[in-house]
Amino acid sequence: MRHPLNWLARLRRSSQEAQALLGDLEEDYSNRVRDRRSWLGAQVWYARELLTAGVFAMLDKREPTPSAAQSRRTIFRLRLLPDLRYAVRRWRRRPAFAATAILTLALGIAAATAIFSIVDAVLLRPLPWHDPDSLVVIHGVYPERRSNPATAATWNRGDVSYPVWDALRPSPLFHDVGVWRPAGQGTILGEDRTQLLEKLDVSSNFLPLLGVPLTLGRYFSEREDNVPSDSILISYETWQKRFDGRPQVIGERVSLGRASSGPNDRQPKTIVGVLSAGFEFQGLRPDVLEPVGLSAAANRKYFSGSLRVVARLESFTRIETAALAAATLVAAADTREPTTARLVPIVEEQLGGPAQSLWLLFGGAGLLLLVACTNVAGLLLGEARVRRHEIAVRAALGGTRARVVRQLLVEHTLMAVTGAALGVLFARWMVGAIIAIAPEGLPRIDTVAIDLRVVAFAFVAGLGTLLVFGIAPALTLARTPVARVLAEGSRDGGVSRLLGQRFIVVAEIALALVLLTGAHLFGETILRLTSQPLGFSPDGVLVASTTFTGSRTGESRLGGMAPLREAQQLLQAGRLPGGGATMRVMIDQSLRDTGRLRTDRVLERLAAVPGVDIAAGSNAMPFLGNPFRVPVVIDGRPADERQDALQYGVTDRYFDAMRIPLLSGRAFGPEDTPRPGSAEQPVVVSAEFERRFFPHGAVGGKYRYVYGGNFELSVHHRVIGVAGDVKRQEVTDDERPAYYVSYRQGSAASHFLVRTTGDPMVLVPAIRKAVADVTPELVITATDRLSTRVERSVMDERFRATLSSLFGGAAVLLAAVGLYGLITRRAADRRREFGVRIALGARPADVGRLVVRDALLIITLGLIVGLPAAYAAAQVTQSLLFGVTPSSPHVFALTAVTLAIVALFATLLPARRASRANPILALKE
Amino acid sequence: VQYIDAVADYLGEFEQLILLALARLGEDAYGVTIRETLIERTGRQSSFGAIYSTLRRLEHKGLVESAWGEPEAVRGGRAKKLVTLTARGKTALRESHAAVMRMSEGVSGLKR
Repeated sequence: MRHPLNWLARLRRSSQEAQALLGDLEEDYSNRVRDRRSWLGAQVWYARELLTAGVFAMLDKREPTPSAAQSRRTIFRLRLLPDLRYAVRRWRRRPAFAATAILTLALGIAAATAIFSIVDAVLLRPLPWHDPDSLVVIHGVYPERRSNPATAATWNRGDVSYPVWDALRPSPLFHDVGVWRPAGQGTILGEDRTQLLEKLDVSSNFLPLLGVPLTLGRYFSEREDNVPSDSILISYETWQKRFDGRPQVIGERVSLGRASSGPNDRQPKTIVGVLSAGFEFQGLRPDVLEPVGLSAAANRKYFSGSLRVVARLESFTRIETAALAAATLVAAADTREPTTARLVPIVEEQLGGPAQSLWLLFGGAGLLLLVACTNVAGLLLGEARVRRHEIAVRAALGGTRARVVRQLLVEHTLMAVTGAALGVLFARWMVGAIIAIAPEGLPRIDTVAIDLRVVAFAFVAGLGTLLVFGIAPALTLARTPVARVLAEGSRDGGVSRLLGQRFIVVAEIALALVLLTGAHLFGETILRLTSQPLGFSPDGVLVASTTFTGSRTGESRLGGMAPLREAQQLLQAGRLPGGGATMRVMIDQSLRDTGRLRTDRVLERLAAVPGVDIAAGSNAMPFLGNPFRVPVVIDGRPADERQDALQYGVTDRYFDAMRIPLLSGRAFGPEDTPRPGSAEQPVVVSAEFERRFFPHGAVGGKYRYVYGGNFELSVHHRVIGVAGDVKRQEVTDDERPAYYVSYRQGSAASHFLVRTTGDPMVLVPAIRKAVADVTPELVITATDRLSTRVERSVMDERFRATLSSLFGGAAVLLAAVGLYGLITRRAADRRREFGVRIALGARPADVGRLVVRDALLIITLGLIVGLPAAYAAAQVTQSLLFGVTPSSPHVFALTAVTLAIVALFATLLPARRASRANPILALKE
Repeated sequence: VQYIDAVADYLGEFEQLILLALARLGEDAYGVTIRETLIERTGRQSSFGAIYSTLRRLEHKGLVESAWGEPEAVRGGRAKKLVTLTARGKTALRESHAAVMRMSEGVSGLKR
């Protein structure tokens, strides 16, 4: 029975007894109720009993039973509290020792905790879907793509077509099979300021399959998988931001524009639902969801693969069975491609990439914590020597061994808790710094936080390690030979071999070597990466990427439309020579013209911005967008000998702005404006293009770009210049044949770049204004330093290098401190010996050499233990390295030498001190 | 924590009554039954708090010992504290009873 006064019974010292008393009360109470005495009377009785029990309990407080276990509070008050007070008093007397130990521990815990908080948020927390373990993604496998370097990356993770989806759906092994595909960007028309929306096409079962709830409205219906529909779902964030979070949004009609598409792209849509907050899938955060059925009919017809499959397995389905079934079903599906399919658990799909790197860093942080703890253990052992006398006195006065150990454990626990608390504080700060340098695309990195789980981790790590590492010192102390120590008096007892401490420092040096090797491998990787020639100079270049949201034939405010309007009127009047055919040619021409005109106007304005040295544009940029990959046939070669080349569309000053060197010939100029009747387009080719296809010089050479795979429709190209090779997306890219066409040939620039001498970012507002002044339909989607984009491509490597260097550096520092402490103590122990030696004629340098030799032995031992460990650990990093292999001898030689030098520095001071030993003082002692 | 084992031989009146109740109840002595016996035999409404404190004192003196019973539903899932007399308890009870008898011998007006 729950009673508000039950606590009174708990005043009894034994909680078991209190329970028995409450049981008695309850039993008696129920007897009273059963015997139909008055309920009120029973209540009053119960309360009075409790009050009396409280009074009695307080009265016999000072009379505990010896047999019954003492309450926790008593243990704390009578045993732990004095121990705690004692520990704090000791620390006050030896602040340097306490501070070093606690700070070392805090440092180790902070590193481990900070990385753990990231590992926890990114890898350990369950994915936000319903039962994520039964979710899988199914990739199309296209073996023939493997041979082509451009498609090789996706050969076994390709999209699939409608027939594949149809083939997978009926399988009883799958609970449900949904499809989705990124649908690019769009705009909501009629807003004051055009803003881009990320769009996602999904099947009707996609959201229910994942278990994503809706805030408002309904999911797409199954019908909408197959027939065109104007329904859309909007994300919670879009709802809040653009529709003020009003519930009446359901049923509202909006006009969606499609970014950069053909005419008539105004699509009226009806909002049918609002997603729950924070929806994210495979790194995409769509603003608008449309039914995949929008173009289902077309897709069925063309069998083109654009869908991605996510499926939920039935509870009884084993993953291997499902993988086999998926592969078989896809192979048998009513389509040529893909050949077969590959099934990947969604957890692996989403977290597989960062997992290796993060676990590795976590391992590194763990090692650092280990070094920190070893260091603290060394400190404690050293402290134990100092305390031998005190412990011996206590033992002589009747302190039992258990009592001594308890005192020490309390002290260590207090140390661990203090260290962990400080560590959490440091970790809070470190996490912010780590996230700032974390590579993009780490899923859920925004949810990283120092929460209860993380704090618990810190405390468990701190307590666990310190208790483990505190046991040896505690036992050493507890085993103090009382009589001998007391007989020694207050003096230190002779030369001790300090075996335990030497072992610890050897371990520290070995661990530090492992961490330093990792730091070296990752550091060399980033150095090699960043010293790769890019082929252009990103510094001082600002890139504004744009999307044209207007309709190209629509009411553009640009000039190029006038002749078209005229022609249209003539056509309508039936007076246009050539009729419709002429009109089509003119539309084509005007499309090109408007694009070029727009580009010209933007460039004019950009060049006029103060601070801009050179302005240029292109349709694809290194590290910003993929160039077209096109087939070319070199003149004089057979028509079926097609070569792959990359095609960039650039403005005249692109090479200047990028500082891509022109190796021969010339760049584009106004003379490259297409003339009517001229069939040849001037091009600038890359050095690799020349090397491969025109080994005797490319300028003047001719080749064809096979348009649409049809040799008859080829576009003829004439080489006017050769430019240096550039990297495309990664600094590790190999050289590929590439060529540049002038924007005059019809490709409007979508990236605008300006070169300046100062910080390019200060130009952003002026650039935005310049672009907006030309036409509001040209929307800037991103502005960035080109150097930032290049840097971003090596963020993973930079992240690993930075963290591993910090860990390695900290470990080396800790090892050096540990060695310093040990050597200092050893030297202090031997100062009588040194005094005698000097008195007998040894030179101070000889004594110093003795100390250094002592240290060298320990360092050598540490390296001997550490090298195989470092070698083994290095092999794990293999796949994350570039330009350095985990078994190259120079890595280990260099790290070992570095570590040895730092360690020797740590022994210089004790050695100097020892060499100055005063023989008279030493002998007098 | 020091406990000074004093005046173990002296038995208070309530202590004596409880020891007698224990002797009477045998195996089934715990809070509720002890209390019922006291009410039944003496008509005295004693509180559980008093009983527990007295038992604790007796346990201290080594006159009774206790064990924990099984939890029961009627007790709200709580265990009983089962109490029995120790050999020393029986001796003490016998002695103090004898002392009372000796003291009351020949005193007039005690017997009805």
